[in-house]
Amino acid sequence: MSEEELSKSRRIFLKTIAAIPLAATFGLLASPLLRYLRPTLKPLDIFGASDQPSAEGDPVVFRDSDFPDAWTCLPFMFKQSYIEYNPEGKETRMIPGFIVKLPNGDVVAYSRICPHLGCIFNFVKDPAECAKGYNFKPDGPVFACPCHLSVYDIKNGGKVVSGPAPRPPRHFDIKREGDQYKIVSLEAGGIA
Amino acid sequence: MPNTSQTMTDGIIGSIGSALSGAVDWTKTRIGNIDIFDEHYQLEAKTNPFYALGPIFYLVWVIVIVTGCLLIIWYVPTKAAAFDSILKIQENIPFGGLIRGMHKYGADAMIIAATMRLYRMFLMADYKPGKEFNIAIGLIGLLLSMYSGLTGYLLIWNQRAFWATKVFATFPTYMDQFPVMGDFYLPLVKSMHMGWNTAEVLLGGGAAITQETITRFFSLHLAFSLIPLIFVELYFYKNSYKRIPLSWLKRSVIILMLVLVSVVLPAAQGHRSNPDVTPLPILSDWYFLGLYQMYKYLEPVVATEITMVIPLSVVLLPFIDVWITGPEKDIAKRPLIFMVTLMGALCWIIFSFLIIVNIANIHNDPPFWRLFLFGLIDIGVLWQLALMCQETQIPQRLKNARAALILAVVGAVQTIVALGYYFMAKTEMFLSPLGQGLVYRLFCNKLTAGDSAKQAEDFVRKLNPVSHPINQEYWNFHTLLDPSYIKVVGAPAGQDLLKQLAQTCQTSTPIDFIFQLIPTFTPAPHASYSGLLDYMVTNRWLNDYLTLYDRMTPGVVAPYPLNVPALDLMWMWLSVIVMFAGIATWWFSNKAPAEKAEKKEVAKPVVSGT
Repeated sequence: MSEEELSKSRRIFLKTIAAIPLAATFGLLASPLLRYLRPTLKPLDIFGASDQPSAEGDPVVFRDSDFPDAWTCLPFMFKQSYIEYNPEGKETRMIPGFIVKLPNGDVVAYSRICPHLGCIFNFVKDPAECAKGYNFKPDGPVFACPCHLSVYDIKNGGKVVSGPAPRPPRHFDIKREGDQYKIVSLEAGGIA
Repeated sequence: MPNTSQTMTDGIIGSIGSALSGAVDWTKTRIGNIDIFDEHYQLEAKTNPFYALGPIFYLVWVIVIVTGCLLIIWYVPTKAAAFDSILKIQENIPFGGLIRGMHKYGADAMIIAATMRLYRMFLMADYKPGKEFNIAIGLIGLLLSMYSGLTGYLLIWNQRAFWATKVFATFPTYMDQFPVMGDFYLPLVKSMHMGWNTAEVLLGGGAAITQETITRFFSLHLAFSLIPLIFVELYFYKNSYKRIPLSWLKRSVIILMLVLVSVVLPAAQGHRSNPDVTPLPILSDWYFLGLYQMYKYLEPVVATEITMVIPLSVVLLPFIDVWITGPEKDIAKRPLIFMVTLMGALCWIIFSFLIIVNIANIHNDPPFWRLFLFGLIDIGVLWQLALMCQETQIPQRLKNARAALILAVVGAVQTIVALGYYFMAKTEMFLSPLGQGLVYRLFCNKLTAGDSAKQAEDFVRKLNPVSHPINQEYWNFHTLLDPSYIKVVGAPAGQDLLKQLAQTCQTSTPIDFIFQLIPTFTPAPHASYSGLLDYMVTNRWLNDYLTLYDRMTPGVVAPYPLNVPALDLMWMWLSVIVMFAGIATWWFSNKAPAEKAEKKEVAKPVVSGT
């Protein structure tokens, strides 16, 4: 290697070494920039957990008499508040839900927001209708999403029996008081 | 002695430095060759419309910026007023509909021009020689147009926009399920929460599509156009390129086309957005429809990964092509690129068509398009290899030998995918549990853990059999057996078995130290794993192995093992054929020249004799 080549190599080597702290400095700007974009994030916590919504207002109430038969399915709206950086500090959204009485007497409630990509799914009572519209013939009533054809088995904890959904729909916690069913909270996750 | 060490330091710095300067030269050449709007093809642009796609893209971009600035005069970016202000622009403001139409169709035209330009660059090999970055530049142009489109149509605040944004913001959340960085590996590594944080940063700081989202999208919508415009103008100014090498007649034709479309087909308004009612079918702008159909067929994690892999593979393809065919520009001699681009185009067109007519049989279709996708690429590889075998020039044959090896690697990668897919199809287990089951058997066997591995497996089988499990939460035995926890919740089901399992997990093995290094990241009663078995049981990797084993053994769990569809078997075997064809071509290309050289040597004296 000639003297000139060597000095050129040395220069480039030193330049690269000098660039490292500079790059690190710019890298450190990631945290303030991210906090500018998402002010609820804590300082230097760029990999911090996200804000999850919480229930707002009085719980939705159903009574035993609302469910005369097995597979009675009633729609309801659940008030959920999302943390936002606006003057109110939150955005209130009505989350659509279904409350269903199963043949074994249990009453379960699920958010109608499909955990796949956020569509609102339907209660399909007739297996033949499901077979025709959703590529899947179940053995009873199911939840089925018209967008990407996910089918959920209601009596089996909302298990995905067909389609691309990654998980069962999010469930509501129900508090039993006398003959009342109070819908108190919703499992976390999902964009509204 | 000081002399020797001096020389050594010089040598090390010299070699690092020369490697660096080589990389700098390589990059500088390619940056110097950058071609943003086909400004190096200004002569061709006058006669060949495909080389005018860059200038057309620039011209339409300027039109879109101008009409956009006009629209801002009347547009109100608020949740309450956005839809009505668009309605007003469209219906009441003189020429409002025309300007909005030109803005919308201009944006569509930019996407069409950018896509066609990328295809031209691939088919005409415009990235050769030393211009590989141009594909990435063209792709960035296309992606920026697409993101401008995405941020733009939320501003209308109609149903399609609202729900398309919801889908668009939901899919990054699946990053939280990616290997290593996601929640899924929580006991092993800390989740980076990248998915949800990305979604919240996009949407305006929260998980709801709301006023903040409109404001943010409006800002991004302007930034995606105006900031690149400044850089592009500086670039034109510095290099004194002509911006649009087209006659005014040709420019007028393009502008008139936009005017005509805007008048004949006024830009759609849709229905006012309603967060409580999903429109059916749920669609987005036309250029994302192909991806929407893919989201029907695939696990969302895989679909998200593929969405990210598509642009990456477009950027890498020119480099792969240069490795394989060198400076060759004739598309007839680059069948691999031809078939890959054909596959991309056909998939996109067919998928878009299928979602528009709302056809999807999610159980029967995937094998067809898996075969279609792999089949077209494999035909390209085999075709390329066949061309290599016909080569007669010795130096070229030797170059081909190396290229054939690269193609064999392509086949090998596909074979590995096929192997993984085989187990997935047989057991319906996904990649992570499959890998975890395999890692369990690799680390935890008779050799490393002795009989205790078998014991642990037996206990887990007793606690969590296929039917009638005693305690499905067995893996959490550290908490379940904690006296303070029992005081609150009560004794867990199968307490004796759990205690025996916990006892087995304390067995020491020679490789415990690896697993003791891994923090648990959870506020469980233990801050670190006591060893190999503890790790495998509490992370349920042992259970993954048992599930895999049971499902692969006929007659244990009905209906497993499932049959692999015949169509899938075709591409799986094809991958093996491609791999061996690559190796055979490598051998053939390397061997034949040697033979020829020998023959020449033998032949020489005969020639001189006559």
